[in-house]
Amino acid sequence: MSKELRRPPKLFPSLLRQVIWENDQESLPGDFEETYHAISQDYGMGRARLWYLWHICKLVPAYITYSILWSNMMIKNYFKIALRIIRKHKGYSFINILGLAIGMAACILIFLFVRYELSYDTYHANADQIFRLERVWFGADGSVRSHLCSVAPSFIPMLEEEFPEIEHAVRTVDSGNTRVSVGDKRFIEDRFYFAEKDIFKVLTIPLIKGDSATALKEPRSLVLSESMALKYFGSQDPLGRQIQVNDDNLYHVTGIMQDTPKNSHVHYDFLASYMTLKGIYGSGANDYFHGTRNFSDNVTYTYLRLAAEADPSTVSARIPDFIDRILGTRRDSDGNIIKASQGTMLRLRKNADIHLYSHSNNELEANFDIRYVNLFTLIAIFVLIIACINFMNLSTARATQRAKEVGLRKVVGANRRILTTQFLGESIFFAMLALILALGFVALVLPYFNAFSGRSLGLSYILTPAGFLILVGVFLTTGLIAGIYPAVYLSSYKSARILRGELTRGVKGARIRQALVVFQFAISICLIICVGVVYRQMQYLLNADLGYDRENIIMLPADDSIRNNWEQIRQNLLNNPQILSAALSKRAPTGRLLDAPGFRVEIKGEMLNNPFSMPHNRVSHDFFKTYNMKIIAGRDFSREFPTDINEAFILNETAIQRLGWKNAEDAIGTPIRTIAPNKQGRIIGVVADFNYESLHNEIVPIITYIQPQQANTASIRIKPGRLQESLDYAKAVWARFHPESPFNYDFLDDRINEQYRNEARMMQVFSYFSLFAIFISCLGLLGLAAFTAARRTKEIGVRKVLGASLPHIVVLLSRDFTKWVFMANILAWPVAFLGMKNWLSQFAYAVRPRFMEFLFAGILSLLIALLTVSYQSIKAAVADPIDSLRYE
Amino acid sequence: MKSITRKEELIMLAILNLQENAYLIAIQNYLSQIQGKKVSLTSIHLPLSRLEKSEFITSRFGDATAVRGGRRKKIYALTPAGREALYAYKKISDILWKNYSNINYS
Repeated sequence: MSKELRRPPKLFPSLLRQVIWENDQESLPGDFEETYHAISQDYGMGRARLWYLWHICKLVPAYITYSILWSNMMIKNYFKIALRIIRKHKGYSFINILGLAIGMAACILIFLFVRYELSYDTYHANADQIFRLERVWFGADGSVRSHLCSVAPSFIPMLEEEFPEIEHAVRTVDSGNTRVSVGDKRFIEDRFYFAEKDIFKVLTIPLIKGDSATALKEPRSLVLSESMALKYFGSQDPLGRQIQVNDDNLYHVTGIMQDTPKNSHVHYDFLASYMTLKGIYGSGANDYFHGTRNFSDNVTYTYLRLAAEADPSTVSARIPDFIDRILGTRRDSDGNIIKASQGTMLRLRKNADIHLYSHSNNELEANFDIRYVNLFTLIAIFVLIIACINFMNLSTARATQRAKEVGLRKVVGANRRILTTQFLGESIFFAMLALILALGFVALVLPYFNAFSGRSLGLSYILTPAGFLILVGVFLTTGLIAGIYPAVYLSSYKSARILRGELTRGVKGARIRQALVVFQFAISICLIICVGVVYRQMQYLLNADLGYDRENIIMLPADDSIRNNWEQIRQNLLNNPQILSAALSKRAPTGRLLDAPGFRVEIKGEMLNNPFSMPHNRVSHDFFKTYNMKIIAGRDFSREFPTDINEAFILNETAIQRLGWKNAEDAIGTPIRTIAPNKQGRIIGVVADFNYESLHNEIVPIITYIQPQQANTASIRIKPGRLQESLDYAKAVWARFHPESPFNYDFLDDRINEQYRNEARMMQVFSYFSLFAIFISCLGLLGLAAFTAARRTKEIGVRKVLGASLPHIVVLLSRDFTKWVFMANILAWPVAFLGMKNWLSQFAYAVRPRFMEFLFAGILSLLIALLTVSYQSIKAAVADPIDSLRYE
Repeated sequence: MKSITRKEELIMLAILNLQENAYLIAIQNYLSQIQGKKVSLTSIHLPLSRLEKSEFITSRFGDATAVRGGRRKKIYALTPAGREALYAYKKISDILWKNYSNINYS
């Protein structure tokens, strides 16, 4: 038997300590060690170690039952204390819980929103196998020049033949505003689509009535959504009934489908059979929709369903080859072979990704952006952390008042662990109250949020097990995070010192708290600056000189009956002196300038190949006059020159400059030719630059010529004043030439404002967030102020006794805070400046951040801070020095 | 008055026998020896804390030895209440045994 002592590894006793109760802490590890020694001598070290560990495990169940019994008893006490604290410090508890509740509410709201955004189009069965076909065009440098989420119809049958992976491919066509009538019920519908019969095999659209296999087989068959069936037929059975679409076409109702879920990137109210379109334009191989030659009119939104085992990336990889075979290759002017796939390409987009990732030029409905989703998630986490920090700050600040309690508890035998548990439990209890309050807030705000965001979020998710678990998790972690610091801090008090009246000063934590307040204020200041800059940019967007007169113009859709009778309509309109001018155009300001045909300019008999594309607009006479656009050289289109109709072109200033003329006058009379459509003529005038598209985009070169046959917008300028009279008159004229179509007009300035709806929302979001941030940082400041005031009670008392005046003390207490707010400003300004510069860079025309905005935010933050602090400092300053000095 | 279990009776008797040396390991060894089979540490420790909680036994700290890593022993002793409970148990056992022997020999 060796005399050498066998000691267990150091880790073992400390492990053991975790699972045994207070009064065993000393002896039991000793007993264990003795046994360990004995076993290791008889059976060896390994056996001894095993024994030690095994017995630690054996102690665990007993420990758990014991602590539960024990804590059960204590929890009642903790609970009572927590309630007493709330009752005793009503104001403080209210602010503390409110702050946490608001943070949580913001977090829950964002969480619901993010979850909703991520749920788009995931309701389809086999959502992973559904793709949308998109088409992109590349510029000479390989960059994406244009991106459509629809493709030309003739690609589809070829694709299906080429790629066996495609199980089903369905083409849909957006019919735009469509007149639908049943009996005397007539409405304009904008969710009217044509779709191939297999659409129900690709997208999950359950039919309530009718057979999904045959519903869209025959021409002129129509499937209605449930709510549309109700709208047009009420309680009657719509199946087999007839619906009149666009004047004279009768469709048969062959099915009723469920309404498309809200979280879908496209919503179908009417689905008409694609076969209806057969032979409407052209026939045979030239059939617009069913022929084999249409690769340029990208009108069909196409959804594919791939086979379950198919890999979309291998399909995508084979598409360039497919494009080259179908569209062929060409040679450029230098004789180089250019493959078709270098110019245009088909792409697959996962259906469920459309809402967050797709930003093509012709989305069916407004999408969202994954970057914002990520940003919001980040903000939610951030907000919660800040709310926790505030909670922590306020709790710690109140610590001094609870020092005696801590001291007493320690004296009667509470150890650190028990105290930590108590304070953690308290903060979890507070967090639970905050959560209940937060849910109330969310329920209150949700309707407004839904109206604002155009979503339909519900609280119902919270009631599902997963949602409930997440919520419980959130409030537990919040309680833990928010409570851990006060718990550790409070329990670290030395009882003897507390009871003797020496409060622990807690100076070590003060730095952290100051840093947090500075940080919070920096965020608030940032947001205030953003609100200022965004507001000024909004003002600029809405009031900038666009190069035309935006007031008093109404716009109407124009179709054949308007185009064909335009001269008469115009004369009729002008008979009323209130109507100043009227014109047709293919594209009107506020629209997009999408198509850019090739063109060539011939200067002195020499054709120039132009390095840039030039969108064109096809208009009637008086277009420029109606919009009050200035002709700066040459002349406007004129009826006195009959040749204008065929061979006159007006370019804008930018086009003239890009083509190399310094002086607009020099360009007048230059021969010019467009390639598609093939038109030859001369430049007869130059129009001053105007902002065709929104101010996000730079002014691009535009070529304008007369061709009202292609126009689809009528613009009418009316005299200011007597608006209703003019509108009534125009409506009467419209009704005479176009009895079927309703007179749905837009004001140009409304449309301009509509372009900046995102910015207006952004502005709102910023405003709300800055209010929120200010509130939060005031909370933080309040906590800090209370803390400082409590810490300096005695100092203030002494100062007052020695004759310090009230303002003197207020200044004394506020000085530090002023310093911190200054620091916050120094932090916030560069961040806000860079952020705003970045935001403004998305506009081609933007204001610059001004120093005034920064100064304003700085002064505002200082005022708010001083106001918050003043309550505490004045309270401390007016306090009777006897009270503050007597507490020894 | 709370009653005690057989196990607790054994432990309390062991404490009485061991006197000044009545600490956990000693009790364990003593009971193992007498019963002729190994008694586990936990099966002693838990009844001990139960007995201490119901105030049948008290404890004080004894000396520390090197083999215990310098930690003190916890020496147990019976309280008057403990003795009383032990005697009550014995009385019941005695009566039961006596009754049984009466049956056997009559």
